[in-house]
Amino acid sequence: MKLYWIVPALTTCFCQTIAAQSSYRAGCLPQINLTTDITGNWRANLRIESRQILSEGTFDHIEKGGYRYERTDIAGLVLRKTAIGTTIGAGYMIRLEGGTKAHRFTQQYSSIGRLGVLRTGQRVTTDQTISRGEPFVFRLRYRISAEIPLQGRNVDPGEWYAKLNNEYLGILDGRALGMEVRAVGVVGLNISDRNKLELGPDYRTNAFSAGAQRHQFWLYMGWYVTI
Amino acid sequence: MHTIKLVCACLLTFAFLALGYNPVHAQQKFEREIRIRPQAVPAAAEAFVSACIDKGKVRWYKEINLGFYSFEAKATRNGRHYSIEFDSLGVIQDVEMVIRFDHLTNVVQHAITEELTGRCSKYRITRVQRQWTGTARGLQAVIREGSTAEQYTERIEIVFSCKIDKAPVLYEALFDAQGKLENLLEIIPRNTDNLDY
Repeated sequence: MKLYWIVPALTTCFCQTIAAQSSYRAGCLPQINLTTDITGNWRANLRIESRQILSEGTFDHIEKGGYRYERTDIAGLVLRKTAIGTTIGAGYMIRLEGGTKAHRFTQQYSSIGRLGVLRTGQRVTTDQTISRGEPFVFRLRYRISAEIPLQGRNVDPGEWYAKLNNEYLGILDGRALGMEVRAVGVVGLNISDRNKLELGPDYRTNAFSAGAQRHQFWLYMGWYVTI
Repeated sequence: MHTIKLVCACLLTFAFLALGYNPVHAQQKFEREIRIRPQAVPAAAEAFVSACIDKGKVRWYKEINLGFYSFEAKATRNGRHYSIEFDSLGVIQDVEMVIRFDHLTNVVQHAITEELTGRCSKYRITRVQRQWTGTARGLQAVIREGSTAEQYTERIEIVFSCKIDKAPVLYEALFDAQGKLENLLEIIPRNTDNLDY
């Protein structure tokens, strides 16, 4: 199915001035997050994320249309609660893409707070990626999030919420420095305190870096389960 | 390719499981609060709030518990944030006002600090409220003028995080006006996995 309309629709949403030669990708980003308590202060998280591309090319020329599976990431993370709303963690991710594998090691700190009715989150992550035949990649990431209840002051079971994420990634790829910015706006359903569904656009760009500009438009679909 | 198919199959399986997933937890407290329009509030509650707070500055909520429900008005007056709670018939239960810890008298601050220091190896106060109970007329006067000759009871409600044996726990404590602990409840923090990962 040709879904070329996704590109102009999402472009309008994010009000970007896009050079004609900038490349883009658009598609779906389903993700499953499975969390479990190990002991009192320790938790483990398993994340499976897959990318399905529906359209890609440059803005004046669509090179490929139609569906294409791109890759799957499987990540495990172990976290320790250090204070109420604060965790530190470390983990490993394997990326499966076209018969090749990449390995990523992650360290993260996250903190959740409240600002009136908003629940806010901050996350600082560093990761290191190695893959055969590719340069070593180091990234430093900072993400700020806000969860907005749509029915009352708290997101209770059975209620809807909105979530906004803004993330900045400093990337050292071999010897090249780059930067990526991500913006996500989703609508979520808190089925229960241990089961949430989220759906919404996820936009990513490296337009603030030198070199070829890439824009990514994803339809993010997230499922969070705690067992 | 085989691995990819396997992963996709797992994703689909998880998605189907999601539709039927409904974990059961013993002794889980059910409490839900929804925003409501002023028209849905009992007349007595509406009249109480109208007598002491400007109409446009009030937000109404209905708190639904197992077997009963109550109403709560959230309002701002002279820069102060109030929560006014009513039962299902609109009868006033209590009034709470958000304050800073250093707004309490030195004697009360000292008493509360001693209590928290004795319980926790490390603590952090995240919310302090004055809580008043009494007659409707007395509580209205407290909101309007800050004090009244009518009889009413003042308590201090404090939410604090507390480290006990390196494990962080969140508590809601109720102190009397002199800073003596009356009640202590453990708060189970909401699951925030969608903001953590």
